[in-house]
Amino acid sequence: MQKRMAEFFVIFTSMRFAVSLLVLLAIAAIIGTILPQAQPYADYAHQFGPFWFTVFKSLGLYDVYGTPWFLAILGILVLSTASCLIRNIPTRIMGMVNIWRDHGRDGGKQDVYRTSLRLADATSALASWMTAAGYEPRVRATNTSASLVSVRGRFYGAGYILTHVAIVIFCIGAMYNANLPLKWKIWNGSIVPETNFSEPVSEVPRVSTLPLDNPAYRGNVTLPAGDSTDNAFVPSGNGYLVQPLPFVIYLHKFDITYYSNGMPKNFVSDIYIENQRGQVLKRAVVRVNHPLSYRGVDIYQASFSDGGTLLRLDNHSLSNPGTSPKHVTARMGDTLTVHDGYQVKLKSFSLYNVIPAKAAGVTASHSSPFVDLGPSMTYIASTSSGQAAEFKTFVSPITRSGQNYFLQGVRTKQSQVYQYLLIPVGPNGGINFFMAYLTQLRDGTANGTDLSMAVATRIFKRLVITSYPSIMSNYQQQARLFQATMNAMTQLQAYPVPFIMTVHAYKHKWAAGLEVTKWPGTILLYFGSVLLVFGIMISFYMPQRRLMAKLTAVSDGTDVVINGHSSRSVNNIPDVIQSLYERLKTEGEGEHNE
Amino acid sequence: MNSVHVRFGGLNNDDGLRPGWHGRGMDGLWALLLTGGAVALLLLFSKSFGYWQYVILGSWYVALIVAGLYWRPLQNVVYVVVALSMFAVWLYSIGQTPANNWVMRYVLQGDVAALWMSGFLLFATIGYEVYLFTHKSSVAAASTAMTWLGVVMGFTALGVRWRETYIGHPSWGHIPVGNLWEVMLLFCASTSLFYLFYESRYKAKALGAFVMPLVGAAVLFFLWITFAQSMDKIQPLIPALQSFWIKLHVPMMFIAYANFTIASLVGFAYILDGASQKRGGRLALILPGQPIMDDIMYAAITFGFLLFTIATILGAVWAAQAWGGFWSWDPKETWSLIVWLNYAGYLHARTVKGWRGTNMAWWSFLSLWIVSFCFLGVNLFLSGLHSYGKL
Repeated sequence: MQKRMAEFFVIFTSMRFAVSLLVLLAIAAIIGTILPQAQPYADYAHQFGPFWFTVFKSLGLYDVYGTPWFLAILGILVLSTASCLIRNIPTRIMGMVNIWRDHGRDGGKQDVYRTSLRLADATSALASWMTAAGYEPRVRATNTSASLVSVRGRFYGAGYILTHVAIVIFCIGAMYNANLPLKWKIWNGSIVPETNFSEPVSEVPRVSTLPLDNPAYRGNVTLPAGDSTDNAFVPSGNGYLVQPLPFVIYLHKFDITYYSNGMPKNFVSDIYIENQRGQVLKRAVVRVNHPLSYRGVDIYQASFSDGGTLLRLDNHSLSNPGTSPKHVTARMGDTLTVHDGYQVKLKSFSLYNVIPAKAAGVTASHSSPFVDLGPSMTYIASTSSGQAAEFKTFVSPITRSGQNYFLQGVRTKQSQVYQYLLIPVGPNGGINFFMAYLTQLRDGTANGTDLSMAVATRIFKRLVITSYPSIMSNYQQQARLFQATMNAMTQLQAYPVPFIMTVHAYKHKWAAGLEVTKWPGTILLYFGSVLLVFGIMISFYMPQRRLMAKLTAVSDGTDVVINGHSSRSVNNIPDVIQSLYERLKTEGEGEHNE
Repeated sequence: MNSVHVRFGGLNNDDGLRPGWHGRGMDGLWALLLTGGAVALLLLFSKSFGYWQYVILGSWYVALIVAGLYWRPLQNVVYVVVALSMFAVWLYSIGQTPANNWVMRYVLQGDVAALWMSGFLLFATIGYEVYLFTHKSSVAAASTAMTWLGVVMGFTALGVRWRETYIGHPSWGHIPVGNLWEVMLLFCASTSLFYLFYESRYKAKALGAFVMPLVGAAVLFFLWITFAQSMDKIQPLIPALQSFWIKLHVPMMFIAYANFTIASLVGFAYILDGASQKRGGRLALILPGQPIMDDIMYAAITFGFLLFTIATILGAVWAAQAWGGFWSWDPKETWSLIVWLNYAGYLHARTVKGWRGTNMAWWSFLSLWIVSFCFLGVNLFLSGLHSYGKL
């Protein structure tokens, strides 16, 4: 039994075992890079279908780096490396402390050469030859034996120790980072992730709440401007856990600065750290690459989103264009029923839309090749049967060759680019002229009249005369407006829903996505990093080379064993050993001949 | 640890190791000029320096001094590159631009200098191949000279571009390692430079016929992203990249990539050398011999591994600041771990098991695929936090 244990220990601490684990680790890691991690389960289900979704889920492939088997590999690796260290550290240290220790396994085959020289003569001769070859030895002699050792790079063994200690530290850090105790609690059911994302924090049950003194966590929180929070949310499986914070974070302001080409330059959150009574403890600006550290908790600028922009929308019905537009007030993120049979989900709002002027088809100012098309809102309209289209509506009109247009992007698939509908802006602003024209066109053709160019022109002229006399004498403007209206009519045929929503007014509000982490192991990781780098430097650039001779007096001369090794591949130690043996041979025989 | 019977032949370590009075004078001048340069930078910019800028300047200062003393030809490269770049910067400062100055238009403007580099390196690649088949030492010398010119123009392009990122839009300015175009330029120039180091250290010109084709392929890719993708356009840095860490993390990674690449292709040469020896071919006559190639592989992998380790650690520290965690298992991070494990395995096999020979050459050669995937493949095929090098 004990023998079995010993054998097991040898295998367990062997390099082959560690390397197999590393290969396993690498393969698992590759899976995690091919399959995007920690996406909503619905996405995976959609991608793989119900069967494979379940198979992959039970294997933990959606969170490979947090699965028990992955952590188990890490754990075994730590144990294996640590026991390998424990086994080897004493010999390595002894090797550094005591240069006289004979490394039996160093030399390979041991050539014993018997010379006729006496011990003392052989010792001094070898010492001088070794010195001449660049290997000045230290000598230790007794009456019957002598040892000559030349060592350079004595502390080479420290490289091994430092690198492998560092690996152990990193693995422990990784396992700590993976929050093993928490994983255990989730596994045995004393903590249950909450899966209802719309529930207010106050109603999240206690089993989904982590303790305030949790030693390590990595959570995030979306905080609208002007709001405060004393919780963060830790994603876990298909749900989340609530992590109470030891202070309140109040987001005073969130700001995005832009480069002249429209690329974001920085995301900046102006936050206050407060205590529960509302007293401000610290005020700080958190931006990308510049986190705030407060009492061991780090706050990072991670993302941003709409914080509930207030919108006044006008909904124009295309199926009944004569009616005046319906006014709706809503917040970004709301779902509205603005038209029978359609649900409209307000998806996002962007303050700026900077694009190359060429792409917009507008004339660029000479200072910059980019234009800002101003704010826009996207929304998704869907029917109960599941048909959906996404729209992007620009708040302000754009100008193209003298005519103003409202831009309305449409796409029926996320993967498509937007097709733009350009609705001409009438003389009084807004799209009322266009809607009025649609109405009259419908009324004019209701009695069965075919829609011909002549009819279209006549109705257009009548509309201008009756309702828009201001442009009656401006034929050029009329011509542009007519042409634009005709184009829009053509584009409308491919328009998927019977209404057009425009933004009448908006009050913008950001929300900052903050990441809140507590991770007391930082100093340990820095320590491990330093060990690793020094260990590698020693291993590579302080190579050890060692040449030693053992001399034993025998009746008719001296037995000599020379061996040595170098951690460098290109080295002359084998040549030196050979030449030493040859000199012993020649000089020894010379002595004998006298 | 086995000692392996290897002859110590053909290795000439003389250059840079035992300087004569002339060499010592040059070294003194090198130290003096670098110190002067560092002091000048401090005087000019210390007002805008944070704590870490001193660390970066110090690191570059020490690294350059040591590298220049260790390998003297580097001194001349740095002199020429700095002189050309400063000349271009001066021309810009007095209003001479590519629009009104022909030197700027045809030579020194950042993306034009990069084209010069491309041309020189492609010619060098062809030259080394010709040398491999003709064994004419004059061809080899010309190829080496071409490579030197390519290196000079490549680093000059980077230097001038650094200035150009500020022109017209000062807030865009950044060290030119911010997008795929800029790092490919860095990769071509630094791989060629390190190749020249190994070539001169080991007097192994025939290896150029193996290393330079990869540099040539990288140059072709670089030209493709220049002309087909217009990636040479200067763009500002996204917020996550706006950090002093970029000045250490990215260049170090590319020095590591350069060394891994060289080790891999020397491994390929080693394999062919073995095959050639068996058949009594001409190739083995011109290659520097397997022990030397084995040593180059080991030297390049160890140096690359050291820098790769440091750069990965710096990347982790940077990630902790930008993304809130040292390690996020982002695809780039994961693949760099795989690269690291791969070479850690190689080094263990070599030092602990004492493996040598053709198998290790194969290992080194095949590692190129892992390295290339980590460097390019991750950005082209996988998405994640490092997705700024996308096409």
